Amino acid sequence: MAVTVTMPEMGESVIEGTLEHWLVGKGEYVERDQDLCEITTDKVDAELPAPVAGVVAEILVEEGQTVEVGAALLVIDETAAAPA
Amino acid sequence: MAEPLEIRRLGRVEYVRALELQESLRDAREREEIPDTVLLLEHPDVITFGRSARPESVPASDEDLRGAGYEVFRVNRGGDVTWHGPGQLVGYPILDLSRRARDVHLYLRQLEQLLIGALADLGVPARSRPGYTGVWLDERRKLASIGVGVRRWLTLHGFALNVCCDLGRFEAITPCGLLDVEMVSAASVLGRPVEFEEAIERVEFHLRRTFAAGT
Repeated sequence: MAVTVTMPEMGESVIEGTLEHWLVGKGEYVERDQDLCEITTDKVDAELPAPVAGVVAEILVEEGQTVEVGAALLVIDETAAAPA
Repeated sequence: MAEPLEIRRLGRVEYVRALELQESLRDAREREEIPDTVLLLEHPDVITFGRSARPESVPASDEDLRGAGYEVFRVNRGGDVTWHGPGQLVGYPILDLSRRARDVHLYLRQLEQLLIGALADLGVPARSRPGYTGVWLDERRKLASIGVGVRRWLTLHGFALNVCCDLGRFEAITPCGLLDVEMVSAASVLGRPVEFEEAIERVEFHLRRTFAAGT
């Protein structure tokens, strides 16, 4: 199954965040809990861990882009096999 | 909700050692082996760059900075560039915000308010500035910097309060990337020496009031 990872909720007062850096690229295999990207909001730097293992099928937001909480950031294909 | 809070006074700690300690404590916190914990310490002279640091905030090269006696690090916290060193009280809370208010900006405001409370106890009238996280004397003069890292609601990094540090050590950088901002300390504002231990006492009191009483 393809899992869409969204901009995480960081609190009632936080409505958006900036995607600072991608730590993974399209086509890359990621382990569950591996950090996918860094997000910043005000003086907070947040790391977003992968909810599932799989291959990064799509990256939907560019570095430097500010998006709202809940916006789709990337898609992970869970069915893709781990590299041998 | 009342959460236990452990405060550890560590004295002077190398920047890298403190970072490793924070990371290992965060892992232990995630495994629920330890309660929420705050480290209070001082660093030797060091300049650190947050993730959003801009090159123009530091006119000197890393090499020049090292030549002037600073260690230099790039770290995973929010914010621009800052200085740490003797006479500055650094606090690293390792808190599980998922057990508290689940709001990273509220957490920033809580850090500001507890530092303002501690400064008031020392006789320094400090305040926050909307849009400019940190603790300020007025529009231009800054007493404490704040920058945090969060991963799955667990916090890293924290605050740096200028108690009685050598303010000349800030001159190599543009703190937080803000031009026209002057760093001041509790001692420089009061025009008299301030005991570092007293500042630790007051910060510890307000940390407990803010985070051990439950939020």
